[in-house]
Amino acid sequence: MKNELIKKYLANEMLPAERHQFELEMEQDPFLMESVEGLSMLQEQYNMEELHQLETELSTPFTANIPIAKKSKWKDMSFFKYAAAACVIGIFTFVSWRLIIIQKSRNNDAIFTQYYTTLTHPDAIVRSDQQATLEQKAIQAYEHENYFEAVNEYQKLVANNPNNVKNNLFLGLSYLSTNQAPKAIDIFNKIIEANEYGNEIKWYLALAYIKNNQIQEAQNLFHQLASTENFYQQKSKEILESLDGKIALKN
Amino acid sequence: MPENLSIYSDQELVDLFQLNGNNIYIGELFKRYSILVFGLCFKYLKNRENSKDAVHEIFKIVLESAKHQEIKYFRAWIYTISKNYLFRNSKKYNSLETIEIENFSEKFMENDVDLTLYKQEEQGELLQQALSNLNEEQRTCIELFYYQQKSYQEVASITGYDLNKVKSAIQNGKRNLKLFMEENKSSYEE
Repeated sequence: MKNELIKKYLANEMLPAERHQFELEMEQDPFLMESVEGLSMLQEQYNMEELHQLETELSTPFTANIPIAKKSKWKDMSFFKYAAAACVIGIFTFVSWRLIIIQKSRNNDAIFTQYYTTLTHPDAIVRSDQQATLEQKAIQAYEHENYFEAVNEYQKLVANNPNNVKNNLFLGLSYLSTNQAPKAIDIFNKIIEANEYGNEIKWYLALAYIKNNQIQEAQNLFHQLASTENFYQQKSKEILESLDGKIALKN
Repeated sequence: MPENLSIYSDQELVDLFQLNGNNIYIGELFKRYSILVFGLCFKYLKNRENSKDAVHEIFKIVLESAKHQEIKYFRAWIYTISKNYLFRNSKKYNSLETIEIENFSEKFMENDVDLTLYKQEEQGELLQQALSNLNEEQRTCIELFYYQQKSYQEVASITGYDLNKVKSAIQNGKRNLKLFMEENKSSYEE
């Protein structure tokens, strides 16, 4: 689907048959449908010319490889020019170093965002009973994605029964869903040896490590998951390839 | 270096990018999808600057992930990544709109029902039954849109429904047609 057609549709410049054909495509393509809905809302606030600008503006930063630096004319430089160049290089080095650190952290965030989806509770009961038990309340909060509330409820459950693997697992997941990776790591490590939910615990612990920038620990777990047949095997291989260093998969 | 990247399909650009890592190939894909992704972001975020920021973040994820992942259908893939990003960051952008996470490949497939409306002419009787099973609003909109080839706007003018009602009647009507035909296909064949 060419962007020009989208613009033409939004500008109401299509003939009836062309317009109908475009709408048939929208009906078959939810991405196009949702996007045109968004752009129609945008159109109410901005003029069409902005769309042309946006098209260039949004894709330009990604369209070229790193440019090749031109050769400098060192012979013509005076002392001050050398000094200025040294300062620039110093600043550039410092900024690059900071950017590398930030970029690494962003890459890890990207991996986490891409692969993290909460685990559906096996006993999910989504209802609004007044008499719901503590466990039902916790499950309900979790399934309704009220993760802060789920943390509170699961904390109570775990305090009552510290050895219940399932409640510990979902407490960890609730921590992870509320950006509390260190707490999630503590919880998952506590139950890592359990037979029940073994792969799930490893998978989410590894993602929590990613979130917390503990790459080596994450890689160890992803290697374990990638080396045996399980639900997370393929995803673990993908993540291992994405991680810095591209460590070869262990057999 | 190719002069005209527009000759390549999405899939060819993905393959070329994965083969030699040159950003110009993924850049061409971004050019093709920037407006689509932006429109999607704006639908949920309703703010121009936030939507631009989201597009950049999504493109960064795509750039990183496309290096290693097997991508069978780029369009569905980038749609999934975009919606997942919006879902995960709805709090960051204070998004008021509910973003549902779904299996988008299935959603793309679900929409194949449009084609079956045409292809299954020989199964006209079953389709007629399915149509007559729809409520009047859905049946009228489906007939006008698919059989009389009217645009949404024309359907709205003829029926007096507003545009959103027309769209949702068509969507829901399609879903109901598909369900009816799936449920009754086997008994019909017997």
